[in-house]
Amino acid sequence: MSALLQLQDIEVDFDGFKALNGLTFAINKGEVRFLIGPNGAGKTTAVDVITSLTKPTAGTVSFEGEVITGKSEFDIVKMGIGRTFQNPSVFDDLTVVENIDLAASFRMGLRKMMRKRRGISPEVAEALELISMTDIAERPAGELSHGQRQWLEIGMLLAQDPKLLLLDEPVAGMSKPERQSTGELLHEIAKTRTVMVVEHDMEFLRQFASVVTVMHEGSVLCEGDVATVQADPTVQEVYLGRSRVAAEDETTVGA
Amino acid sequence: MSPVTAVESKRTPLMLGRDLARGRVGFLVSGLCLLFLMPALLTDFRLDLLAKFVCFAIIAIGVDIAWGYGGMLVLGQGVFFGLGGYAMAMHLKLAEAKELGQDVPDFMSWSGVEKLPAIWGPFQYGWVAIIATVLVPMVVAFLLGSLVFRRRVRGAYFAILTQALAAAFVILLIGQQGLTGGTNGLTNITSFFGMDLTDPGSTTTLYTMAVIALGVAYLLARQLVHSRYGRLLIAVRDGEDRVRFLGYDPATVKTIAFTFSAGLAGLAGALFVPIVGIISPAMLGIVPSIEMVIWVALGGRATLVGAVAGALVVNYAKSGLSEQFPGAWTYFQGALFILVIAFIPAGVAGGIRAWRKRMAEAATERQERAAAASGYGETRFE
Amino acid sequence: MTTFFSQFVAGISIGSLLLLIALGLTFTFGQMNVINMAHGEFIAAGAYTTYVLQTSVFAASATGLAFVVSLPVAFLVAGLLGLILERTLIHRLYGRSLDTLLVTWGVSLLLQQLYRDLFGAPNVQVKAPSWLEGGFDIGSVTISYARLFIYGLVILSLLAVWIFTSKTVHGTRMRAVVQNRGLAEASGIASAPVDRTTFFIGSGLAGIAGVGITLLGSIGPTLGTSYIIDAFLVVVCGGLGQLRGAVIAAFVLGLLNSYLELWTDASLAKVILFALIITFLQFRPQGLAVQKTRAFA
Ligand SMILES: Nc1ncnc2c1ncn2[C@@H]1O[C@H](COP(=O)(O)OP(=O)(O)OP(=O)(O)O)[C@@H](O)[C@H]1O
Ligand SMILES: [Mg+2]
Repeated sequence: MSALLQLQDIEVDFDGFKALNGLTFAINKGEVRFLIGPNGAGKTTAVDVITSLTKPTAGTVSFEGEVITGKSEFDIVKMGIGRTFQNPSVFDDLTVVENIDLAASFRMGLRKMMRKRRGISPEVAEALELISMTDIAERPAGELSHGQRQWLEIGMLLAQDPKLLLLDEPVAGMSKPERQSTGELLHEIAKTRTVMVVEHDMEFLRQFASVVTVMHEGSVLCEGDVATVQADPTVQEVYLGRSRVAAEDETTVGA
Repeated sequence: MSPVTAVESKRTPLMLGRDLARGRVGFLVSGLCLLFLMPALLTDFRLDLLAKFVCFAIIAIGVDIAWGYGGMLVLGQGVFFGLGGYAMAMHLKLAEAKELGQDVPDFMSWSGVEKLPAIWGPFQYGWVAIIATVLVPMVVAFLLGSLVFRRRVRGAYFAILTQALAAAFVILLIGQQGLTGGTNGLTNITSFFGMDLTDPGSTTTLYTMAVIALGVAYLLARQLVHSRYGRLLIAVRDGEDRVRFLGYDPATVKTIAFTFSAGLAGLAGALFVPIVGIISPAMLGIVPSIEMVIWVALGGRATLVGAVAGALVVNYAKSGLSEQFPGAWTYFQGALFILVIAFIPAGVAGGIRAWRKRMAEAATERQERAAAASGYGETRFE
Repeated sequence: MTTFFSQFVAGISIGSLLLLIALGLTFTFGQMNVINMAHGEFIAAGAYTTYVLQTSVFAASATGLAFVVSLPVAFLVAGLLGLILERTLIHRLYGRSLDTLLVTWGVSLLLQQLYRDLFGAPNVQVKAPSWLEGGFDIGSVTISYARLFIYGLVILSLLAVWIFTSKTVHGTRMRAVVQNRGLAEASGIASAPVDRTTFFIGSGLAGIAGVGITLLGSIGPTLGTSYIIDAFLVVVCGGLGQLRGAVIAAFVLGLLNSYLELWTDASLAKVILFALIITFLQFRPQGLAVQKTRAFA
């Protein structure tokens, strides 16, 4: 059990529909893991199970050797697993800096929480800097664009300073330049942290992934580095025709 | 990084000092001055009325914390108000009986109770009663809150449960005639810790106490909403499920706010009893409880000043209208609920705030346009 | 043994009345997530409809006929009130479920005062049809025909609701809109007419309940308020929008109420019942029957 995170035979049953079926994989410290797979493969559900949003019908998740299935969402955050959501969900009535500050303050005692925030703490300032929102820190989050909200989510995640970061489709719905800068941001983040990214974008994947796990119909189809996965015939079979991006990649794979 | 740390370390634990320094409490100070001037301006009867409304304003602050900031629609705030009121009235009735050399308060002997019931015992002591007026409501709210919020009972479910609590509480009070005075409640309260309440001079003293209590409640609430916890409370209101993934337990956050609001209602009840001289089930049932929400809704949810103003204004309107045309008042109140909630959900204070913001935005826009026209704005977008 | 049985009958009676009221709520609250506080006043509308038909439309000799006719008429009257409410106010408040509660409370105040102005503040009496007078004995317990009629009314309404939701096109559409408004609209179901019909039927059922209630005593402007909270509790305990849950919850609450009153007294019974409900929600926070939807997306 040297893995940072271990999913073992996870099964999730939605009224008879098995969204996850014997899902087993592990993430080691320092990895940048990509979780890919066609729509409905169960990627988001896997993230939900790790963070306890969805309770698995069978199987266990362990983190640093300790079983975490059944723990509450906030206890899992306290253990050091943080996540973002596919649909960015930030607090519209709070400002950018307040959103990040709340994310950074969860270890604080109640007495300290009862005081007003004074200035900007170093962790929050660093997160603001990383997502380039220092200038708009005082803007209400409700005024941000979709892409900015996704960045704010990432900023909140960074401010939590988790040991494992789970990012669910961080570039979905972004424009090309936005994707580019998000990629650079991710690159920066991944230097010092363990990250798991759910993503469809192949270009993105080739640029950053150290290990790729391909999911299909609720379990792992294959796993390995980018080249291995792209060369795998079964992956091509489930992916081609289903994902335009993957189809465009065919030439690259063949070359 | 160092300048940031420097700012961080320069904390002041309470906001008041800084606020005073920056002159931001001008609003509060002028409000308080105005309230403190009232005894000189109003007749005793009017002052008595205003004192009652000041108690209601304290309740409104609590409702605003729970509902306006925390999103918990409490339809049973009358219960906490009543617990505070009854705790105080029980002591005052006992003190009166002692004065007259009787074992039990008057209403008990009327309904044939000769021995003081055990639950009344501790209320012989003034300090027990004073602590209980705030503590008992807080304990009840804490228990209820931690049970239901932990199981994620919320929204309409929570509202209905609090309303059911109000219904059950009133039925209990009415049913236990010998213990509680039944439908009449605890009446004829004529002295308050040695002060003769029939003496007209007492009104000013009670009024002043109520205003001070309101000031304290306001400052506490202000500290609460401007703290990190206050931001967290808003976050819970707008996305309870998301907050869990920030590492907080929303149940705890909500329970704290709910308990605080119950404490304020209890405090208001304790002050209300000597001012009005009676506490009865009719003052704290379902209907009065939901009225407490409309005060806040009209004034402006999630603004403290709005809540206070709403309580004062609605109650003034009520005392004016309902005395003369009781039927018209009911229509008016019904219309108030409909119009405010459906068409101005932010309330008057929220409306003013939005209008101010629009004005400010328009002003900046004008400035920017002027700057762009004169050529200075160009470097802004690189 | 006799008291045990008589309390049982009393409990079933309370339960069936609660169920009759909660049936309407399973539409408006359960299916549309609208907390209609004016539901109680729609019940009163049904009761007053019976009164008006009896006193001003039909001859004094035709009490029975007036009563029978009042069933469909009360359904229409209350249904129309509901429709007006939905069109004017509620439809602009979807997604603001707590606000609908407060707005409809205002409507309920208006209606109560309206009843006071129209029919007077004191209670009025509706005459029961002669064929509902009297009753029959089981052992030493008498069951009145009026009670029996209410049981029948509940069973019929329940059956009608069940057929409507599970066997008709509208019912299917309604369930589709409940489960996923966006998806239902995308697949060509216009949600506005569905909402309207749902609200009409839910409110109409309140009217039927009002007719039933006239058999139990005199009626007044605040008739609805005495039932409405308990009926909402039935929906909360039963599970949102679930017929089966509502049926069980209504009878369990009715029976508990009746036995607790026997065991303690009426005022303590209410408090104990409240504590029991809170305890129950510890185990089943979503009520008896849970409808699964995606938790957070
Ligand atoms: N609460 C739920 N109830 C029923 N089915 C669900 C639920 N949540 C997810 N599913 C189903 O489980 C399957 C896996 O969903 P999931 O969201 O994990 O897929 P995904 O791999 O993240 O897809 P995408 O790439 O579209 O985000 C899908 O078929 C989805 O419809
Ligand atoms: Mg997904």
